[in-house]
Amino acid sequence: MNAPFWLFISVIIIAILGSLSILIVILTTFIREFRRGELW
Amino acid sequence: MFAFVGIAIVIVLGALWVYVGIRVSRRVKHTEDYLVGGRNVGIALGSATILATWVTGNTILASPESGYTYGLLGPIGYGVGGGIAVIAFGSLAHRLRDILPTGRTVGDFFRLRYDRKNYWLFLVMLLVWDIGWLLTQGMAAGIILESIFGIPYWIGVVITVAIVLAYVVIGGMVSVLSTDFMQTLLILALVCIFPVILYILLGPKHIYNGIIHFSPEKMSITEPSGVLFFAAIGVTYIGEVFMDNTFWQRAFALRPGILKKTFVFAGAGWIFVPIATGSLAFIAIGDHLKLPGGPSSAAPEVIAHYAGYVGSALFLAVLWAALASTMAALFNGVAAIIMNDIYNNTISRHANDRKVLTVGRIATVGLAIITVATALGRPNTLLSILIWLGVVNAAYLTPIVMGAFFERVSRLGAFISTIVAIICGFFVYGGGSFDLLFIQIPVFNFPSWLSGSIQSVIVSFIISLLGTLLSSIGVRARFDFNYMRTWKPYSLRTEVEGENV
Repeated sequence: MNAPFWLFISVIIIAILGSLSILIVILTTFIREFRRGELW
Repeated sequence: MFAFVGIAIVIVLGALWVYVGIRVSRRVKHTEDYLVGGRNVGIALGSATILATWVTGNTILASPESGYTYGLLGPIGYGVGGGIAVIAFGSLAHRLRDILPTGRTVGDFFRLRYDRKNYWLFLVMLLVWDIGWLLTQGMAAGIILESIFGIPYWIGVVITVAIVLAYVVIGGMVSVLSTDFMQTLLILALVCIFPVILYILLGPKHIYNGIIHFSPEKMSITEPSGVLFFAAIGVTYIGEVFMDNTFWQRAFALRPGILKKTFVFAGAGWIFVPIATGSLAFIAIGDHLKLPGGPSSAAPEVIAHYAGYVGSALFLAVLWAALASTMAALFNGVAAIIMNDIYNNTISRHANDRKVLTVGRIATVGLAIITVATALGRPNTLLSILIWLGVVNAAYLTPIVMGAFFERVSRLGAFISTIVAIICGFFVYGGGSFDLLFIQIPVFNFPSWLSGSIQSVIVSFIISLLGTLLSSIGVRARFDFNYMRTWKPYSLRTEVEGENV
């Protein structure tokens, strides 16, 4: 059974948005932990 | 011309990492800092270092290769398998900080939990695995920089190892944490940008229609080879993560309260990276792009063809960041085994903290020399050795998990089961014969469905699981986890006490 177009494009969009979200979360967490002195 | 641009990118990025790595190395006062970053690492640096270590040069290139070979299921299987392995390790990491709060390496766990024969067999296998992985990173740096960017092989190897060594040798884990953070941001940012630009440029519908026209089986979600890959890649990855010392060091480095959360976050985040890079392969299939370098060159060929000079330069930055971050973690991870398990726990238990730290730094330099010397020799069988070491990873999965969570585990049963599992796994992997450095060992010729790298991993895992479980049923003696909870590394003790190894 072949994946329909909507599934194909959804996989790619989820991967891009997921990577971007992780990047943003790591950056914001870094700033928060840096301010609190909790980086390491 | 592009070779010079490539070398310039490597040197500029490398200079930044060396500067930051050496600057933060002032924090390193004890072996605790050098090996486990002071044991108080937060979510941001912790998740970034897990991601940077696990996103290797292989992730950037092999995921598109799996997409080109297995279609849509390839990168999804690659991403989900690798991500789940990291998430699963989170539970083990949480347990480890409870039962072994002062641990530094996976060797500490195996030495304290099992007996001498189990420990030494494991240590040998661990060193073969981690050094093998390190050497392939050295070779990969040279091969990738040469084949894709025209940088001479030896220059690629020497520059990469020299730059990574410069920031790891002084600062150890502390330097790795800082540079991993920068490398993760760079990788994640560029991994998002490439598919967005190329799919907007070419049109997703055009790519999809091209795949359906030229290779419709690549869009199949029921293709047997793709489903097998999807199903088995998880076991392979879980085996790698659970045995690899770089993950254990990170389990001991993170603040106890955030352990599970950080591994779950990093594992979930990792899933997206191979799928994003793997989506580049679909462009090659859908636009019928010729790949002179084979499926493994799918991503760089697509970037060079559609994104031109600037795209290739940025891709080099991603690839090199991925390679350098993994190599740095492995230098520190293998040096940790040498300084902690071989030197401090075996050769010299009376050595003070400063001496153990010096041994770690000397070991790191030694590993760098070995990596360069081996990589320059370009051994053909090194990569295949690393692949069949997946059999070893799968065999140790059960003894590690049962040893951490259960009081009753047969030490002899675990030892024999592991050996039998590894031997059987190699037979299945061989399919007639397998290469071992300079010789070829003949083995049984099994039917194709029962032979191959994925099948060998599954056979190894099942034998070890059944053997360790069944042999542990009759065990009466309970292991006292307080023995591990109260243990302290020798370099931190004033008096050396007796032990069973």
